[in-house]
Amino acid sequence: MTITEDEIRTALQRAAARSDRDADPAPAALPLARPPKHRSRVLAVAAAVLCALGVLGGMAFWVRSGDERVHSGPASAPVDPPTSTEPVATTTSAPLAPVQVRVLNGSGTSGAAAALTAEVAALGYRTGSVSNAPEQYEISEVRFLDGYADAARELAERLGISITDPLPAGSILGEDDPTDANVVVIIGVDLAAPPN
Amino acid sequence: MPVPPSPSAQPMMTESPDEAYARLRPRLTEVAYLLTFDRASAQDVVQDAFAAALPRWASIDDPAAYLRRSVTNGAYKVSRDRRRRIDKHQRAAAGDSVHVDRIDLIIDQIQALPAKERAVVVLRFYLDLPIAEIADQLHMRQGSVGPTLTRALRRLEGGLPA
Repeated sequence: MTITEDEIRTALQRAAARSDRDADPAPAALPLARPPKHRSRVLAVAAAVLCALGVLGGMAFWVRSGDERVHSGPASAPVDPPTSTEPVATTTSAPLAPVQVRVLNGSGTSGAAAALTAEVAALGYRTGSVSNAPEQYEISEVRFLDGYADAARELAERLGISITDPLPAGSILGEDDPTDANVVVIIGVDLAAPPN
Repeated sequence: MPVPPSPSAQPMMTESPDEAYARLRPRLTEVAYLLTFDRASAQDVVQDAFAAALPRWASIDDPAAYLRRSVTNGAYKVSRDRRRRIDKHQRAAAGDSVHVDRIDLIIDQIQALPAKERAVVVLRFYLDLPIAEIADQLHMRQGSVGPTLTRALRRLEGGLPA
């Protein structure tokens, strides 16, 4: 059923009118200072931890590559030989983690994510945990973190998914395990119920 | 180089923060609400935006645009970070349960959109922002605003009874 722009505008205006209905009375005066926000504290702690991890990781990397330079002779020795399994290959230059694919079920059909995870694994990808998308998706998507655009497009093509989009860190992956994956497949209704 | 004030900036050149707050808060709260569909979050976001703008108020050329941007950013962040459940009861609680029409169904669908698609719909059809500005504000490529909008419309249509 088609929908017109006018209907959307009307809907937005009607919804907007609800913005202060039943709400706590809005403060009439200007806020004097930024109120302390629990969320931002959590984020600050998380950021600090991530930074610390990053520094440690960087040091470990530096120490290790230093070792290799000392012990394995000329600096031309390949530190990270490109893997030959084509789907996993992303880039050979930067210290990007290997492609790790997480499948989210946004289709509402139970079992769809497990089935697709098996399919993705069969293609040679590392797979992460399986869970439900926060919302239902009509159309399947592949999302990716910075640096994984090519890998995401390749995977999308293999799976017959037409939408690939960058993924702001932590948005769909969830707060619980943001490092679980760098490419996320969201199964939509279209992929869960293929035409027979 | 003198910057010609945009029409919306005109009354603000001499406007005090208090006056700006009184004038802009309702509209900003509406925008924040449309992005989050959560009244408390919407109010928080607007408060935060004003609180953050106050210390540098004098140096802000166009407070209306500045605050709109700040509020959109904040609300978009909230809507993205939160695992949101579609709250169909919110409509009933809001007192519209007597007569639910097609527009109400569309509102439900807008609320159920993924955060980015909802943000594009709101910025396009509620704020009437040009594509370039939407892309800038939501950190998207200009070329993907259109497809995202199309996807959102498809999703909205898909959720309506045939």
